[in-house]
Amino acid sequence: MNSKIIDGITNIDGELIEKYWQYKQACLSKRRTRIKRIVGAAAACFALVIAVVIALMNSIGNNSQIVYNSYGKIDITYLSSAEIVDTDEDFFVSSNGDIYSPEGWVSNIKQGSATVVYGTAKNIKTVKIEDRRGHIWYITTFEIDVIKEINNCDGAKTLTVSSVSRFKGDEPIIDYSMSSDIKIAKKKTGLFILKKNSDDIWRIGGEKYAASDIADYYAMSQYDCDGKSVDYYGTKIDLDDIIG
Amino acid sequence: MDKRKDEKSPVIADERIIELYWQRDELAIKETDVKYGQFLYRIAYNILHDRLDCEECRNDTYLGIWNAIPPAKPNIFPAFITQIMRRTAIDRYKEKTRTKRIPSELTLSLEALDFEIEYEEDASELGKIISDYLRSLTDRQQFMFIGRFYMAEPVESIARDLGVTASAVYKEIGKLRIGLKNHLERNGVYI
Repeated sequence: MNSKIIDGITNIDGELIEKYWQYKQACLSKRRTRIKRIVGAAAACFALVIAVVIALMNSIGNNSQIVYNSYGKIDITYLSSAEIVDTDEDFFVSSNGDIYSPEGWVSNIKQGSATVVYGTAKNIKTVKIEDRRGHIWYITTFEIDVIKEINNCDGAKTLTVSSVSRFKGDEPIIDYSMSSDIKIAKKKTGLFILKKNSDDIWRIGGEKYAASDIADYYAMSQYDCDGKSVDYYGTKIDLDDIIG
Repeated sequence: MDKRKDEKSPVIADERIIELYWQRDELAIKETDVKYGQFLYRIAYNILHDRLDCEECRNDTYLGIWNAIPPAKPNIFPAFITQIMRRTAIDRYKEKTRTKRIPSELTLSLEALDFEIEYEEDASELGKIISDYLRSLTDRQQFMFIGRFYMAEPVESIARDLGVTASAVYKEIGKLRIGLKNHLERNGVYI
């Protein structure tokens, strides 16, 4: 046994032991800081991974929300963030456009490209979607069983129709031809003025949709009709008079 | 289970513990045990590698502290009690190694100092020479040397404290050993 060296080391100055102790405390403090940094960095990485996973899951989730109905159109009730609105009997989102004289209106119908049918709406669905700017979108889709073709029809027995409106608070944002209050009492059977949905892309609630993927037609306006004449703001107009 | 862990007494400042020793209040020993009992045990275990010996050394250390304060008024209390524990444990180590090799960290660390010395003066003189050598080193090197040869800390533990690899500590300790040997020779210690 190296007895002398053991005794020598045992007898080193106490001041050196004090210095050792202080250095050890400094090392421990540095170590704690190092561990905190590592834990912090690990937590940040973990949070990032979680955020990416959530984003991916949301993305997958959104894609899986696209559900098609029997007409091959998007079922809007499955859209991401869509809240189903119970419209009861008051289903149609419509301002009915500008009000003309009865003669002016007939002239517009006859000379325009709008599709006009007398029919009954069915499978009416309305959803509400809030986008990142806080705008509320109301989307309505329905089908019209055609009773009588009036103008620019293609012989289809049933037409798929959509309507979109957008609001900021209570104020409608007029960027679609059908921007108005959500609930306007309309009968399900009546005269429908429609236009063909183009290949327009609608950006609703941060998602893009082709208008034609939602419905073939866009609803312009609707009037009460008994199959023979239409009620244009209190004036009866024969359907035969508006056939172009 | 260790009794100390069951006790709920709050840890008090070192200055207060020293004050209690000066007042000859036996609570001083209890508080030392609460705060530094495990720490002292570890030093003893690094040297003796035997649980019963460590327990006895710890009790002897408490008695040593009680006898030393007063008159002593240590600046850094843990450093002060470390020295008492080291002396107590080394005495027992020397006694036990007369009959058998003790497989402790101290034994392992001394195997690195593979030279016998002949020195006629007493141990305190040799301690001064070694202290002079330590003062010529950097703080980091002093920490390694004292950690390994005085506290008998495992190399891995020293490396963890310094945030380096164990092999880096082994390498540095190798250099310190050569440096010590040269320093002792220069100061009239025959090797």
